Amino acid sequence: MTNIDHEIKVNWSEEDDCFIAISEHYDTVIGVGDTKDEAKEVYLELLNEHLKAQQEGRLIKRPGRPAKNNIKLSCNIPENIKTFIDSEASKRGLNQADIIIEAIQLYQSYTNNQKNIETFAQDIIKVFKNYEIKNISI
Amino acid sequence: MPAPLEEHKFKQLVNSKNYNIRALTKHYEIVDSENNQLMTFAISHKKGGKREIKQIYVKKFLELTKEVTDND
Repeated sequence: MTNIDHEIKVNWSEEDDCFIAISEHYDTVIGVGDTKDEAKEVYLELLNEHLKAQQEGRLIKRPGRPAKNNIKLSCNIPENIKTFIDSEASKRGLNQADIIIEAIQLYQSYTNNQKNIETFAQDIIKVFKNYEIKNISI
Repeated sequence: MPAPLEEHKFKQLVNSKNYNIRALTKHYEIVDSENNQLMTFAISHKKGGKREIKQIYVKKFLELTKEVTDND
């Protein structure tokens, strides 16, 4: 049996009508059982099979956690904001992420200085216009 | 939220996404065409009851297959 060096959480699931054993370390390993002990036992048995497959080099490669400072963000934004971001990115030869990061940085500097959102919005527009002018002058 | 599935229905779902179920010593694993393991799971069955796959496994399988497909 595997020596466990991580915490296993065992909780009752109303939906599945059984105990479920999971850990943060192995998200594809899930134990189920009618008792806490059974769920944990199944977890350990499945973990053994997972580790065996890992040793044999036959685990399916998954995307994994992004590299430091590189996050994948997915969100729904209003259409007019999206158009604005696309347009700015296109004008300035940047990608949409650069525009969003710039906006967040500006927002951060304004919230740190306790300035209001209207001033923030006005300055964002100024910054984008400045960039446009710079790009044209180049 | 995916519901618990009877064994044969889960097998159909797995096969429909081009994966296979392989029996292990006590439990099961889901593998791709090259025998690489996606996940493991256990089948629950009470006395006189049907063998079923708990919805947490169904949910995890759907989540993983989406993740792998999105990464292609």
